[in-house]
Amino acid sequence: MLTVEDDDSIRTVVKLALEDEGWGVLEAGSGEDALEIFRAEGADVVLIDIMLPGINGFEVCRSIRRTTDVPIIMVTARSDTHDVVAGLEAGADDYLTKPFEPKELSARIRALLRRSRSQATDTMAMTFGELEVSPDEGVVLLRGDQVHLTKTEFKLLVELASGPGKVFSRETLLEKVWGYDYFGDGRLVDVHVRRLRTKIEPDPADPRYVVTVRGLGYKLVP
Amino acid sequence: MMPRRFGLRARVIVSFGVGALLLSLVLSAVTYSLTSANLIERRTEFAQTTALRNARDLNDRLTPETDRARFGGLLAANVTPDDTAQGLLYNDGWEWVDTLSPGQAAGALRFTQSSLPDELVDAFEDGMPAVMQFDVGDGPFYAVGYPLPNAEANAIYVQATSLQDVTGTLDSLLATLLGASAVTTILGIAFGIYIGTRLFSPVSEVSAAAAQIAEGALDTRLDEVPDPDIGRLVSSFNAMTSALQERIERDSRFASDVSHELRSPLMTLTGSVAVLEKRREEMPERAKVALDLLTADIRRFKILVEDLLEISRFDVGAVELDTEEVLLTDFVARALQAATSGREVPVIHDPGADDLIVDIDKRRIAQVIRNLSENADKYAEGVTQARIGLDPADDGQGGVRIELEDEGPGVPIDERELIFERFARGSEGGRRGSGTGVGLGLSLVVEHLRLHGGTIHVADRVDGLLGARFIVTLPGVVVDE
Repeated sequence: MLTVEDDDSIRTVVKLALEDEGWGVLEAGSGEDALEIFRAEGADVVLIDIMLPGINGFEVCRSIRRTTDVPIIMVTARSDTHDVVAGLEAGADDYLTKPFEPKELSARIRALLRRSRSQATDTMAMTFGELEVSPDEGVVLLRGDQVHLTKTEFKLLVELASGPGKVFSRETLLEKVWGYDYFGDGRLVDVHVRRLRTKIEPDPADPRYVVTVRGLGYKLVP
Repeated sequence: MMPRRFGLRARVIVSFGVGALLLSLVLSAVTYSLTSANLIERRTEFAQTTALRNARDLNDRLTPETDRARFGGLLAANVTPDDTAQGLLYNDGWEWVDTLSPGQAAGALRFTQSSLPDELVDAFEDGMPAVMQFDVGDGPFYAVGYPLPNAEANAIYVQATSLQDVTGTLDSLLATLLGASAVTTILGIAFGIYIGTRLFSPVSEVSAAAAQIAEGALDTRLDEVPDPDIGRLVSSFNAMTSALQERIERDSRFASDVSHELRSPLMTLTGSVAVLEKRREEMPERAKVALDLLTADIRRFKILVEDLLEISRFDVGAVELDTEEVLLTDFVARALQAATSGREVPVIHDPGADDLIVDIDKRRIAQVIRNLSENADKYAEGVTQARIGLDPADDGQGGVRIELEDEGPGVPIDERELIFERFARGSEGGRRGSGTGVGLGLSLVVEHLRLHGGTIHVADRVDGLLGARFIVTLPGVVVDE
């Protein structure tokens, strides 16, 4: 995995701790270095600090997102600022707030890398109007054209598709898709649903497939 | 300075009222006395003139031999003011000859010879002309007497005119003037109220603004006014408020910046301790003890920094609720479970309160429960029971009540307010109120609840046993199905 962080001490200690957890770690001290290393060597997961000199974390995130759907974890300084939502909008899959426990980071990475496991429908392709979801192939077709989703967006869609018409609470989706407990951040779900809608909905402002059920959560309309 | 019994505004109003009253009374008194002097003077002058003329006419027509029986006819020919009685008095047994002028209403005048006062009669006996004003029955009279030299021995012509219509006019004038004074006084008070309100409206605005600022609305400003006197008050007030706001914001930004700056080293510490923890088993005993101390204190340090950040956000005012609908019983049970690392705490609920769905900021209320739980861990053996129900004080408005009980020593009555203040441990060191060990825990609880419009207070346990009961109320959060 690639960790992008301008503070040398933090970068070193995160590398040490992640190596303890069994991950191979590449380091980058700036956004420019990060993009170069990522292009040259690639990574399975990218950990980006938002506050970077030069190209900031959001930019790095968007650049990486343009070419790949690799899981990205943002590191923010505060949990309640617009940084979190902005980071998620920029394409991050999850976020952590400094100072975090390396164990927590490791758990987040594992959750992101875990393959989507839907129940009985695993191999069956499902069709909703003009939308076709094939969980086993990792493919989503809209009017026959492939839609490019990130891994997290895909997991979210498959989870909703596992119970067409059934309402999934934000807690349930957090647990199934991100591996969080009851007190996870509901904004993760909201932002990802928003991004998913821009990709699959004819009119994201008036969704046809992924519908909000006020006060309860979301459901996929068959 | 002695505190004044009445406010400035009341005194302005009273001054205007008293001023208007005095002024109108003086004016009324002057008007009345001038008018009354004038009216009476004119009437008495007229009476005197006519009496003199009549006396002369009569005198010209009289000889000592004229028969007294003709006098009545002679008097009837006289022209007199209205409401006037005429008469002739003789020195040999004074005799009132005629009591009424012809054409005068008989009942209008009840005047007879005996109505004349003795002093006047005495004056006439001396054969001198005399005038006198006196009261007869229900009205004042003005009597004039002139001797008639041509008549038989010392006859006096007497003419008595009633002044009743004049005094009647004066009475109604007095009533009108008093009425006008009353109206003027009322107008004066009304004007005083108007002026007082106008004059003090900037003061009222300033005090309203100051109250708002005291409640935390630091961006309150007064509108600029063109008036030079009040304008200065307004601009210095605004300048003062800006300075205060800047000062407070600088302070809270400082707290925020400091805690922010602490995050990076804290990240390094947290990570390093984790790396060390992995190798705990390779360490000598003494190093293990040191590592455990380090780990525990870094955890405390982390919570402190997070609490500081959280509370400085409240101070800057950069907080908003992010509410979500949750099942209350489930939420409280989970929050307690998370706060006590999985220890089972019984959550009981009032009848019918088991399926309450509430719209709350989950993160904040979970922190409320966590901080209360940590507080109970510190001063008692942890929370022993939670009770949930509708808030009777907010009946029907969707308010709920969450009570957490412990079996500790309880909170002394005089500390029940203090413990919710920041760094509230004070000199006694061991006082409750420091969920994090630095005294921010319970003050954060207050802030989170205030954001919801809720409250917290501490009381004795319901069952009367030793221990504290923290009562959280959240108004209007219940979602109607």
